[in-house]
Amino acid sequence: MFRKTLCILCLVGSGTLVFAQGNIITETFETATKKGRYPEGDVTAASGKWLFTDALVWDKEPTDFRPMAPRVMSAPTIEDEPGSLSTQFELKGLKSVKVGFIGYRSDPGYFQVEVSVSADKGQTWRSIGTARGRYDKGRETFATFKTNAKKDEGLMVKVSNISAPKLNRMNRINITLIEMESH
Amino acid sequence: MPVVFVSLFLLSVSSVCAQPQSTVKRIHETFLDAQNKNKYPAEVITALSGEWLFDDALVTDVKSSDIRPKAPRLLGPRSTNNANGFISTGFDIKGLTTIKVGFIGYKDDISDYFAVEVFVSKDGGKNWASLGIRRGDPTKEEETFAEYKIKNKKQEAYRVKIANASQPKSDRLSRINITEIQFEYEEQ
Repeated sequence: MFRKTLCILCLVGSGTLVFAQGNIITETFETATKKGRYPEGDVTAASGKWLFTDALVWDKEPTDFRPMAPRVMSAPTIEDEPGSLSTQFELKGLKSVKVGFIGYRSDPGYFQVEVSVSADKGQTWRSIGTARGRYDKGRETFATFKTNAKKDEGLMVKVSNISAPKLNRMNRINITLIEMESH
Repeated sequence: MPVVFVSLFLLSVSSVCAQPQSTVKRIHETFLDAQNKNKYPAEVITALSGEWLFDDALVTDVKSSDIRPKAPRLLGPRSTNNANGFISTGFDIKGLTTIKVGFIGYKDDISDYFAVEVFVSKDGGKNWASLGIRRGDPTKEEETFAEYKIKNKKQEAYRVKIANASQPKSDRLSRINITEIQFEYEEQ
């Protein structure tokens, strides 16, 4: 009986291990290095190194959705670059990207994210989709985007804040989750 | 005979090459950076894209049931095609090809339906031609994006009017919020 239970436990354990190795990288930035200002800079997170452009990640601002949820600025006008987070590492065979986000408490909206991928180390980016968030900021929005990439292709990922442009850039969003699934 | 064919071919190639390249450009208006207008009666306001006439429409950042601050709020019609609140551009858009309008029913109002109607004018707003009515979500949960295309090969200049075509009500409280306006135009 004991042996049987042990076997089952081992099986469950190995199953869990296989599941955990199922090529999903989940990034919440909860254990990332802090960055208290918006100008471009690096952040080291559990998944690797990220470039934060017009974005910060901080643990002591009560108006963030939660501590260490990256806060990303919107663009001043439609012609300008929006704030973004991008990986400085490539993901081989990237299948899909799931993003959780929410409008920053004091900003008016609308709120919207765009996910892009780059096959040339960040020189050019291809959009794989956009998603609009909730106006009432009552809860997060989760959106999943497929990359349609080849199995052996290495891709970088960029999450941009393409909320309504506003001259003072105060249509910020908090990113709550980035999940990257590979083949 | 072959000489005629070759010269005809060259002619057609040169005429294709002579076509001027046009680029698609976009005007995006959210009214987030527009001046406030806290009352409904007709008035011109200045937004990032230019001047707009707001008639039976307002735009405010005062706390209200608007979907968001600075989303224009348009009164509904009193009866069919009567006194529909609207906003219209005070400028012409040369080469206009696409109009996209995001809208949603006003949170406090109950209406059988919420809708927008978009018009264009080629004579500075004297005469307007309707491009059609698009209905939105009657539950007011989701915003609706109404898209209109214009065949504009001659790259003519148009003014645009966006009117509230929701259910007519004597108190006009079938209001809508405009969430976003995009114009696409071709420029040579």
